[in-house]
Amino acid sequence: MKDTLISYLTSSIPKEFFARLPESLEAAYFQASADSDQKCGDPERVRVRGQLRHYYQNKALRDVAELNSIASFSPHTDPKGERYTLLSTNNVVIGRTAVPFANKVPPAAKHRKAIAAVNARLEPTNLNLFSDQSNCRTAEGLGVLIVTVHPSKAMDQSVPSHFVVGIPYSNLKGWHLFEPVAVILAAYEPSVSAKSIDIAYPTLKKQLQEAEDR
Amino acid sequence: MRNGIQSFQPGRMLQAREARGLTQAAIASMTAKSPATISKWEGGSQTPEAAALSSLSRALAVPEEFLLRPLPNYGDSPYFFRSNSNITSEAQSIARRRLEWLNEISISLQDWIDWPIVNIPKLGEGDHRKLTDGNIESLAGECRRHWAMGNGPIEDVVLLLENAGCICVREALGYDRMDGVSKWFENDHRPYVFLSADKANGVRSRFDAAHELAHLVMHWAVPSIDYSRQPELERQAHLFAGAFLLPAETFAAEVSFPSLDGFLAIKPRWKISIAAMIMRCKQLDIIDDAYALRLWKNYSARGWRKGEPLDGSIEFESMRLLPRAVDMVTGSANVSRNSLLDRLGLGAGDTASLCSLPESYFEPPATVTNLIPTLKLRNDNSAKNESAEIISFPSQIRKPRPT
Repeated sequence: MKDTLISYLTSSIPKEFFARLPESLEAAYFQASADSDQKCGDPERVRVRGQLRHYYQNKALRDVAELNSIASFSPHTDPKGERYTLLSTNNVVIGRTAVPFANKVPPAAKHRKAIAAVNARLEPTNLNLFSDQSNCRTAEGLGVLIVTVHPSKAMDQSVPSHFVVGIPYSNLKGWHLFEPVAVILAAYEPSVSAKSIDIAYPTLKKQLQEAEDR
Repeated sequence: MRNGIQSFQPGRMLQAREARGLTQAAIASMTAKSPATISKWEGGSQTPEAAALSSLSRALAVPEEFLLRPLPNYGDSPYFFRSNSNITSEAQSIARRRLEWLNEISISLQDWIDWPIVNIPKLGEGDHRKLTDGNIESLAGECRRHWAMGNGPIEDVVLLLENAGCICVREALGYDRMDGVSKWFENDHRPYVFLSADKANGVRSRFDAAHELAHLVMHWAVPSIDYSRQPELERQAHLFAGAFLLPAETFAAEVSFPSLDGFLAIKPRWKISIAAMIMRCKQLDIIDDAYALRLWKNYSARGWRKGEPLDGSIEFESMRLLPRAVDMVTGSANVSRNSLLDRLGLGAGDTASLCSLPESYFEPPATVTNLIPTLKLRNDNSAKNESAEIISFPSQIRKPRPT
């Protein structure tokens, strides 16, 4: 399953998107920390930093998408009051979220559940006689979340721990795929390097060879 | 005044003592002699008696004959040590002495075999004072062109060195800040490279090998090394290694959007540490100081200072030339392993290690002893061969029922 999903991603999304992504998100994350440090004192600083991280990274994600000709949107949440980032390319819908250092479960939100629902086709069907769920299952497509893993409290708060590409379960309680961006990028690379020629052989001295021949 | 074995070679004693990392006081203690006597032996003003020579050879773990063999002239060309600046001179001495022994083994083996023709290019003027960073970048490219390698990742750096006739060895020294040493030996006009195995990291060892190659290619005319020169020589070799392993044209194209995840993705193919890739991006002006600083912070935050991902999955490159030569001599040239060991002049362990052979290569094979089983002897009387008497059970006699 993991290899199939990675292969689906690499065939649907240009490599440059994942190549640019960490640098852009890191820059946004760093900026959020710098701005909150500069403009706020304690105790507001920590709350502001969290919000700035969210908004700056949403913006960075859209910027990276636009640079790679991937459609990006900022729809309103339902009920209205907030906006989120959504990308779409080749039947893959991409959103983003963040998780604490030692927790892989993404916060549930309606818009994330909508992205995760696309992945119901990857899961076994439990038939329910009392409700028809067949309409919920799409024939193809993938819902992807770009996950920022925050640093632990003891670590420098201006750099994220790492970025992960996640394909969540349709109920958002786990992951079909949860791999660092590096793994996805590696899947674009040719797997083998050029072979070195081995000519590191000594040769027997001439007189020894002649003696052997006699 | 000499009063012992006249053919004793004080230079050999010093060489062996330094190779073992021992002090004169330690040798004195191991041989039950006074430090003054040891000092006199090493200084050549006195020589040991036969019994003392024997205990000295045991203490130094070398054959007695080794201490009687004159020290060859290794030439005046400098030894290039790749090591942290605060490494002890003791570690450098060990590496240097091991490299000298490697050279002697190589010279002895040349009685039977010819090594590949030396094909390490001596580029530029060989003088570090005349090199600019731009020159070094060009020399790294020239070296690749000399070997017609193209600009892709290098699969095996040690093989590249051995293909070009360089004699290499990798051994653990017990000092993790000591990375390697190299030298153009003048007795056979051949380059020799010693790599440290103490870091247990194949990626680092590849870079060390490229670093030593840099000295051989660029610093071949440097007459000697002093403390004022060493930092610049090391910096230049580092620059060359980066440029040689990660050519500007191809590497820059692959990291047009540099990030730690991006570096990690290409690490299995280039087999270079992420730290070296960050440095290389900085050298090539792909990233500016501020971004480099952020990458380093992120690098630390991920805990990669203690060890990068994939370090364990990229193995040490193996040495081929010396084990092949020994196999050839003991096979095609019909020289027994023992005879070869005698000719090479070092102990079995040192020879096997320096020739990159299994530890037990020169040890005599286990002999099959008499495997006839024997009966255990028993002290009690039951073991005596006496016939047993069979006692019949008494027949059961039913008593008549009372009427």
